[in-house]
Amino acid sequence: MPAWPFSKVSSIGLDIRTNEIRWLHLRHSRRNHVIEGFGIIPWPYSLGEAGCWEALSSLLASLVAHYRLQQLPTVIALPLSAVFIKHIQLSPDFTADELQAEAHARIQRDLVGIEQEISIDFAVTHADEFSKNMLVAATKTDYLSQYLAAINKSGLQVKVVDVDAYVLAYAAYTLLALPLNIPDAIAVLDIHRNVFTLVVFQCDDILFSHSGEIVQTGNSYTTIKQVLQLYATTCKHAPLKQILLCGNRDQLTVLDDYIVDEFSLHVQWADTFLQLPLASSLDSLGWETMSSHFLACYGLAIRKLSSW
Amino acid sequence: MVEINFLPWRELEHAHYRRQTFFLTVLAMGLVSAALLLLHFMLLQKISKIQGRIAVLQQEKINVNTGNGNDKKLQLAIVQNGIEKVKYYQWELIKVLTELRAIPMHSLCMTRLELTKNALKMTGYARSFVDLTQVLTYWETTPVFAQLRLSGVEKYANTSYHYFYFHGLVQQYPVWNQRYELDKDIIEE
Repeated sequence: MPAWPFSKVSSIGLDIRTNEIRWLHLRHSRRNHVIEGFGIIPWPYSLGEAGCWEALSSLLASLVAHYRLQQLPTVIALPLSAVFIKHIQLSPDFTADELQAEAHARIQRDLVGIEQEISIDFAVTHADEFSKNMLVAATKTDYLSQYLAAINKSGLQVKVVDVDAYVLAYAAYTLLALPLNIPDAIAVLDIHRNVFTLVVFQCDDILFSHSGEIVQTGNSYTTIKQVLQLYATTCKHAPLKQILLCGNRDQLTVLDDYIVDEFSLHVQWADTFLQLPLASSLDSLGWETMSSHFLACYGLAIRKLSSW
Repeated sequence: MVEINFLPWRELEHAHYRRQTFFLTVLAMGLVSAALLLLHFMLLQKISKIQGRIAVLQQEKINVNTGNGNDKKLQLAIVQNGIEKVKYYQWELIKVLTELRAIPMHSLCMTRLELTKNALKMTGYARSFVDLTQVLTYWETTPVFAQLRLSGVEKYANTSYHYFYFHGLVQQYPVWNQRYELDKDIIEE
């Protein structure tokens, strides 16, 4: 939400994936978020492909023109695979400027040999009297610039570029109204066509992230089972308690029962958005059937926006 | 939760705060300047008003001195005359009171004094007729009172005191048939 009460109070969460673009337009009021628009647009590209930026720009331009979304603040996310993440522990005396300098220095040191310019951001995840823990994320500026240029050219105004795994975690925390210091590990299983992404997080930390193709044999989901088993063996210190499912629900009707039977986990579909008020011009039935696709969009659209 | 933003938001934030600080500084300076300007113009207006009044007064003074303002001069003379009369009236009244206070008889008590123009009425208590006679004798020797007579004496029952009434004239007392209004500087005969 905006930092200033009289600045723009609408934002768009734009979730750009392989072959699909999902968008959610939220209007923020003091009490809640109102859904002003949403949609899924087929897109015959994946990010980084030759010609994808032009196609993305023209597709978004037609979307902007059709729904009158000109100059609306937009939030996007880079895939975790396109981002280098590093955790650093520093002295508690470091100031904000020193943290920034240290983050740059560490990334330069770790990415030796990369001649391309790097864009960096960092966040302090934990601070006490003994240490300051910092998460540093870096991505190639060239890739980011192309991405931003394509979206800004369409008439939207990108204000935040986040990382998809953190966006899912943020959305799940908000949607499930979980306290930030909950010690349980929670997973989000995002299903997009025949591909799934499993993100496991605990407090501020992404513990595990894996993408794969869904292989369904009868009522069993082999690959999903394997990934959950992989997590259980690699992260024994943080056993899973709960899985939030999002994405194509119709395609995987018995997936929730399967996970409950196999792993005895609490499974929930991300359809609690249904509580969010819908603008009168929108089709509520369409929203009910599609809402589980928009967890990432929701996480993006509720990001805090600054007025600068 | 961790919130990553790859856009250069820290630089933008610094620039925003710099802009905001600059804007607020300029705004504060502008407000102070505006207040000072307003005060300056108000004082200028007041000064010009006072200067205008001074000019008018100076012109009147010149007119009075050069004899151009005869009406004014006459009015001033009337006022001056009135003031003198008031002073004289007050002085004569003080003389009457001083004379009353100067009587040597201590067994006499004046309770009331009425002056209508120069007609005098006095009432009071005396211990004996001797005292009253002495007072009358004393006042006959002073030039302040004339035709002073004892118009009545009453004796109170069960006491040795006598209640007396005097009447007479104040000789040098000015006749005061004028009305003076201080605010308007008018003396009416």
